[in-house]
Amino acid sequence: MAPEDVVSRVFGVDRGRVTDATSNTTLAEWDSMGHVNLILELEATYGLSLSPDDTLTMTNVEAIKRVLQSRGAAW
Amino acid sequence: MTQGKTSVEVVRVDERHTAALASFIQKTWDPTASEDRLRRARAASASDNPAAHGTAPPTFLLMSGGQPLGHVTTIPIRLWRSSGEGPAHWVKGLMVLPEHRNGPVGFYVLKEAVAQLDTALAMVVQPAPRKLFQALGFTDLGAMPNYLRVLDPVGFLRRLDLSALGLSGVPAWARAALRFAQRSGLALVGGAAAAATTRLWILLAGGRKHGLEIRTPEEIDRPGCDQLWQRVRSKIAATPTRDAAYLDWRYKKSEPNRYYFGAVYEDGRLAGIAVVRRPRANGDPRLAGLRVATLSDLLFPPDRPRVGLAVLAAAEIVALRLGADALLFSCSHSVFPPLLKRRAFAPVPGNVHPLIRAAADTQELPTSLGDWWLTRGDSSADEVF
Repeated sequence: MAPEDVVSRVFGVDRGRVTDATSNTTLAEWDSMGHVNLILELEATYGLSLSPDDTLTMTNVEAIKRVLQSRGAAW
Repeated sequence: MTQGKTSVEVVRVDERHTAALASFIQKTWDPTASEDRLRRARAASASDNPAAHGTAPPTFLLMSGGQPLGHVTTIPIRLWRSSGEGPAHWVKGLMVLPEHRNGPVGFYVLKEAVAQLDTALAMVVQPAPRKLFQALGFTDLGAMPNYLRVLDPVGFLRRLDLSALGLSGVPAWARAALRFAQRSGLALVGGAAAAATTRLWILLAGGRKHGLEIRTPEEIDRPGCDQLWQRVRSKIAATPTRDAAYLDWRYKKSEPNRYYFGAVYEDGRLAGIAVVRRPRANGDPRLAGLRVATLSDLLFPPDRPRVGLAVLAAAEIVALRLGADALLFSCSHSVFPPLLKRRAFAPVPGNVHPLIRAAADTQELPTSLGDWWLTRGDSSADEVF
């Protein structure tokens, strides 16, 4: 499952709306609690643990992909 | 989320973090905040702390690379519940730097604060932080009802600006009618008619004050307040302690010249007290010049509605003397709605939600809003309109 699919599912938005540029400033549904849910879902989907440093930077899809790849995740 | 080796940490503020705290406050609330002023304020708060005397109220910062990104602080109180009084904290001032909002900062800082606190309460308006609190084990008691008593209907109607107030659900025809009345002078006639109707209603329903004496003292009657609190508390399921020390600290010491008292005496003994916040005409652009005072706090025996009505009347007198067009009151307890109706208070949609979380080793807290005696003055929630 691609990170875009996780973002789409967590925030309940159409998959077609999610691009690399989708972020916590472009998606109204992406609030602070939504961000926490997204991190938990990413950890469960890719079977890894994300540090607070990571989660601070994962505020758009492009950054999410970069962090996940650096942790060896594949989709 | 797992916290591994990281440069992100949540710290409980002590002397070492004063510079970081001052820097955060400068960026968010007060550009003039200084380390020196903060040290003095924290020392004063420590000496007044009713939950743990001598300890500064717990305050937390999320630091990343040595820079503060998020903040939350507390107001220590004592909390009454049927098992007695114990320490508790209002969680207050949850704030994240703008460039880090909608991320994890608020969650981390709040999570660490809650882990270190005993019983905790919060008054929250916005849905996003409410979700954070609920995710960390808080129960949302629902919106605390608001009531508005128009004290000067003529002035109120002349200055009322529905658009500025942002009230939704008011039909277009009503807005147009109000504008027409304001331009043509009909507001003056309508306001006078409303004033006469309100006076008649209060005369019929507002309660007789035989045997009760209303006073507007400069200072609180400390022995009277303590005795009143002792008599009243067992009739309330849960409430922050409202004894003389609390009332004096909250409404006189910490913010002088902002609050005024109304008191009701029966046979020379204090039977009820109201605390009114001076109206602000310029503080909130939504008020569009309306002078709205806030009934920030009050206390009376809930089984004495006659006294409750007199306390409300005392609050109205204080607000009128302060030049208010209207008096805003937000309250949780089930005793209030019928009394407020009799004093011509009109319900307006609630926006402040109390949230509660009992410490693991303490008695459960009531989860029905009507069992709690909470008002706008709690957690300084009367700072906002």
